[in-house]
Amino acid sequence: MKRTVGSRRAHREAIATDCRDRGVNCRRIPRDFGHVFAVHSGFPPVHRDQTHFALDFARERDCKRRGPFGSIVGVKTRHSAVRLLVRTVLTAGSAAALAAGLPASAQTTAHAVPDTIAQRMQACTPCHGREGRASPVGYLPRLAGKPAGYLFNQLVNFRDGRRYGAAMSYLVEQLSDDYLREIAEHFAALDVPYPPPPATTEREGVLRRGEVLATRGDFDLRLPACTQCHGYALTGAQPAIPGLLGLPADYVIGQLGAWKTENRRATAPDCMAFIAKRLSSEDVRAVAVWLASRPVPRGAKPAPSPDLPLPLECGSGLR
Amino acid sequence: MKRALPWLAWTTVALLAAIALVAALNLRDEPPLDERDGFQPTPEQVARGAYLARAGNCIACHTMRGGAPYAGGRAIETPFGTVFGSNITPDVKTGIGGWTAAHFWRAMHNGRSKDGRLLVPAFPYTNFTLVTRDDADALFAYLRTLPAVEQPNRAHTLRFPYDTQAALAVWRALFFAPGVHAADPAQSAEWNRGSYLVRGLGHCNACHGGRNVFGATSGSLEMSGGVSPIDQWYAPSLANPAEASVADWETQHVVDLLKTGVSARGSALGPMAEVVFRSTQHLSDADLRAMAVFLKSLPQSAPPAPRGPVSLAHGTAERGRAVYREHCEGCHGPQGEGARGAYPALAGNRSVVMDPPANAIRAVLSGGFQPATAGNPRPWGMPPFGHVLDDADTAAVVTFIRTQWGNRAAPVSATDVQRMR
Repeated sequence: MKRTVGSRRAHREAIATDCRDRGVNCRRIPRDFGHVFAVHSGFPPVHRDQTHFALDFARERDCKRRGPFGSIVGVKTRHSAVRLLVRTVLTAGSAAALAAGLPASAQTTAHAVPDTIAQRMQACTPCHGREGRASPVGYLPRLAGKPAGYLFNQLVNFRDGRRYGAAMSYLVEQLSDDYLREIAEHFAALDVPYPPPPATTEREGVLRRGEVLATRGDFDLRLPACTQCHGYALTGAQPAIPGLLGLPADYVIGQLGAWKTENRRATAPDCMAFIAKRLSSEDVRAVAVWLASRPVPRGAKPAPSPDLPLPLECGSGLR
Repeated sequence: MKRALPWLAWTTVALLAAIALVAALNLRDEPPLDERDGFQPTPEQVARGAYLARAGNCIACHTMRGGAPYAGGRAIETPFGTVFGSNITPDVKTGIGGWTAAHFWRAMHNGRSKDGRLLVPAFPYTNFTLVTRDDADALFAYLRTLPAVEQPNRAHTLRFPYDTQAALAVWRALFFAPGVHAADPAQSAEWNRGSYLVRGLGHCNACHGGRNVFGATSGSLEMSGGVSPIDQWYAPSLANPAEASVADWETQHVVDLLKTGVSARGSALGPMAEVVFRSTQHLSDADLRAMAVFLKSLPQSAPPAPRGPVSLAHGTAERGRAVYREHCEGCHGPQGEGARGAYPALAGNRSVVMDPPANAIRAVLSGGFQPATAGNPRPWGMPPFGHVLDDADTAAVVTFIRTQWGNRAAPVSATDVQRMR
């Protein structure tokens, strides 16, 4: 395990410089244990450069950290000779194996990930949550369990400029229809429980207006009820009508607003644009907060097919 | 007054001479236009034109998101204002339906429109001038077979004086000369084919070449790297071993990257993913090999001096390590070693340690997928962390990956990240 890079004195100077640069207080560097120590102290077991290796080792062992006001805040790892000896004996075998036989590449590629569509879709998780289960608070919609046709249409709409969202459009820009369909089917097949709805502080009148719009519509405004297309239980219908429960109120408001201003479009005839343009801002808000306040029934699933005929012609509802 | 007169006269003469010179320089290599439309393309020409349109990635600028192919409208941000791709479908009123093959050739070779106006060099005629008349005719033959789409061109919104023909004329006098691709007899036919594609239709240096303050590249062999106006990605130098030089790559790895978006040596993200998706994946293996051979032979700039250990402000490494453990380690591994076939290694990765650090920051903020290609139909994705990490955390984690595992690159500040938002 003898280190062979440079003289001992040069080695010490390099460590001292490095420690100074990093704002840590270096003490005398008595000797180095090189590779062996680093392996069992949890340090990177593979370093292409043995000098850096020794630097890391020495810094951790011989340097005290300085707090923001210059005081020494403690030694991070300083092993007694006995502990060091025990650890050395315990890991000597594996260390020798590492140092002697295995090529560097075998060690550096030890990290592996499962080859699953879920793993390939890690790109979706920071916003849409693990397993596409974004919660009903915040803004971002849940994906899990939505009809695959609906999810596919949205991915294509983002790619082809019918929906705007810089992050989404950028992510799907160079993906093929086949892959987008596979992605949609993956999230559609996820069956994960819904959390209870967040407590609403909305006034009773607003919620009542929302309920009327969602379940009965408004004859004077020529507005059908949400339930007429999205299902009696509002859990959507295959292949492409999404459920409306378990979504953040702000998301629903955002989408209806985007339809009003034509920042969200669907394949013509765009039935939701027709509806959104007839809704006042107050009505948009009312229906969104009422929907967000509803618990999702246990085992909720999109209906196998919509109740035909639909009250409006819809370009994307049946595809 | 008497003294002023000769002075005035001389100035006028000099001015007129300058104008005449600029005009003459603008009309170099322009034979009289043959206005007759006797062009009768063969099916082979059309098929070759379709292939060449892919090689030139015409569709990228001449199609807006979700719009009809080649009907124009895509906004291209430049330092001088916004340029909009034009309609090149064969619509007579709004496209190039009224053009003849000679008009098209003049646009490609001389950068002038049908009516004689000078075209803005966002249309890379500085490269396309090298395209042969045969290939230009094939392209024109293909474009004429597209469905005609009536979609009026959007006027460019360039700032004064860049929006004037006079400014364009001066620019062209300084930075543009029509040319032909001269084959180098000392090189193989393959190398020459690669050179023709890379420098001509491929217009690689439109992004990979550095540009001067007038937005001009300094010649189609210049590959010194440039900051792309698209989301501020940095198109790395193809001549610099510390950036994207492929001189020490196996030819097949270069072909793999262009064909599939992934290779044993690196993968395409950002604007290069678009290039692979729309253009290079459709090219023949022979042409990709030719491009690889040429790119491998580019004169290399001197490798940068090795850096010593990087000094970090107190706490930066700890903060970066914490962010890395939480968000990055699962895919890129505890030692930045990556996962074979799925996620790139960060240790020893040129894109991570490159200066400027734009691409490392952009990748963290925007994430992205490699392009879906026949050779890699189900790419792996990187999440966008722009919504999750603030400027300081982003800076800390980018600094962390730039200084760990043997990586030795300059730290990144929160201000650097803020500029990329």
